Amino acid sequence: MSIEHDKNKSTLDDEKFIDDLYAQLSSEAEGSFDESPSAELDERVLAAAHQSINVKATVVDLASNKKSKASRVWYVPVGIAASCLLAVSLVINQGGEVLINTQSSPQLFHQPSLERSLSSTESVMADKPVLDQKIAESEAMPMLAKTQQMDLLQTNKQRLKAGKSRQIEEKARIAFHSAKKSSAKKSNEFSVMDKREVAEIKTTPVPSERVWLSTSQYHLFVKQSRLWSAMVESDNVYLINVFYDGEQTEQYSLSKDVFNIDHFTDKTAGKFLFKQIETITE
Amino acid sequence: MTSDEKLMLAFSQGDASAFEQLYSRHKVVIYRFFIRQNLTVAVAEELSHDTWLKIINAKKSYQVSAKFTTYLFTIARRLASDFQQKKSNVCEVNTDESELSSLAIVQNNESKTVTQQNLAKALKQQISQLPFEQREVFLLKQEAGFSIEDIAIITSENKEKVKSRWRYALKKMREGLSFYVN
Repeated sequence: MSIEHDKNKSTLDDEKFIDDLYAQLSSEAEGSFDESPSAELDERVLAAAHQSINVKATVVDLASNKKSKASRVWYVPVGIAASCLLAVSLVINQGGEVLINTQSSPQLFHQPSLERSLSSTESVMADKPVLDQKIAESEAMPMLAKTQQMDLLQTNKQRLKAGKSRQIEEKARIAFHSAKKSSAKKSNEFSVMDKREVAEIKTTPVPSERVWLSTSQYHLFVKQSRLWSAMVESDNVYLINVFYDGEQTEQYSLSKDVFNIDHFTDKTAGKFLFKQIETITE
Repeated sequence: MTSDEKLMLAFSQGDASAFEQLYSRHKVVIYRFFIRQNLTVAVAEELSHDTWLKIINAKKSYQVSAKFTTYLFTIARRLASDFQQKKSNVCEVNTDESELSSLAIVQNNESKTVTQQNLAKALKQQISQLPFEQREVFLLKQEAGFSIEDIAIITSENKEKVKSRWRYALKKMREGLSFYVN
């Protein structure tokens, strides 16, 4: 306690000593102890203070100008975006046709019928049975993946019923090109067989309203135990009715090169399962 | 008289004249705080400038949570501390022990004719001889007029540690300057 007291006393004495010195200096040694910053420093600091306020005002003005300008030119980015969208869609559409027209490689000989039908006029492209035929033919190509074919066919069927033939045509075109790319290396193996198929299909009179049954669709109907009934038989084609749920039916054409139906008669009134139809190619 | 805090708030709202008042009130004490840190005039002015620039730039975020001078010296002290860490001897005013001793000898020889200017010079040199921690406490207390509590806030140190530094600084100052009184 006494040590602390001594410490405080000593500190107080020291403080008094220093205070006296400072008092002496401030009263008698004017100029030697009272340093001040230079006028130049004063100017710099005050200028910075004024500038900070002016800059703030300038920033506010710039911000408001920018906003008003932005509100005036809103249509510019919108216009650019619309132009880009239009250009891309045109390129996609034209690109498909150009590709088809420039197609001349003998390795891809199996595709001309599909190409021709794809590049035909819009009215033909929008035609439901022709489109189904294209899809069926494209499915017959060995290079197209089977899963892709199934998905495509299912999607196309649903969309055709909704009357969206244009969109489906686009889908078929995309599938066609992807198939063409993936098949470029393997096309030699299949070109001979494909030639024969295409030649036969080309010589077969195909009614414009026909929906051709593909093998994948056939397998799907077999799996679903769907029923069919006979309608008409010609030299190359069977025409059948396929029964969906309820009273809904749809007509399908079956190529005799692909399918065989024993005891087919148009007078047969009964309903049959799809497993009674044989596939020749398998 | 308008308080420092009100002036600072007025400045933060765009009143430049409020800053001019603040600056004229505290510019000398800030400058002295730096010049006593054993620095050249140029460096002291630069650090003063930086201190005021930080005040200007932080005007938007200023809140009255303590005295303005505490805020001001917290910035100044931090700048001085940073400078001390990276300074070179070139920037430092050369005031070694031998110079101080020679001055004392001269004073002894002319004991009756000691001028106040020499006393001022000796005092400055004695301050410059203090270690940095003691020197800043001494300057903040003796020249800027802060209490021990305020200095503890400014330096972010324990109050007892500040008090201890103050005691040591006083003791050294007295020992170095006692011959003037005698």
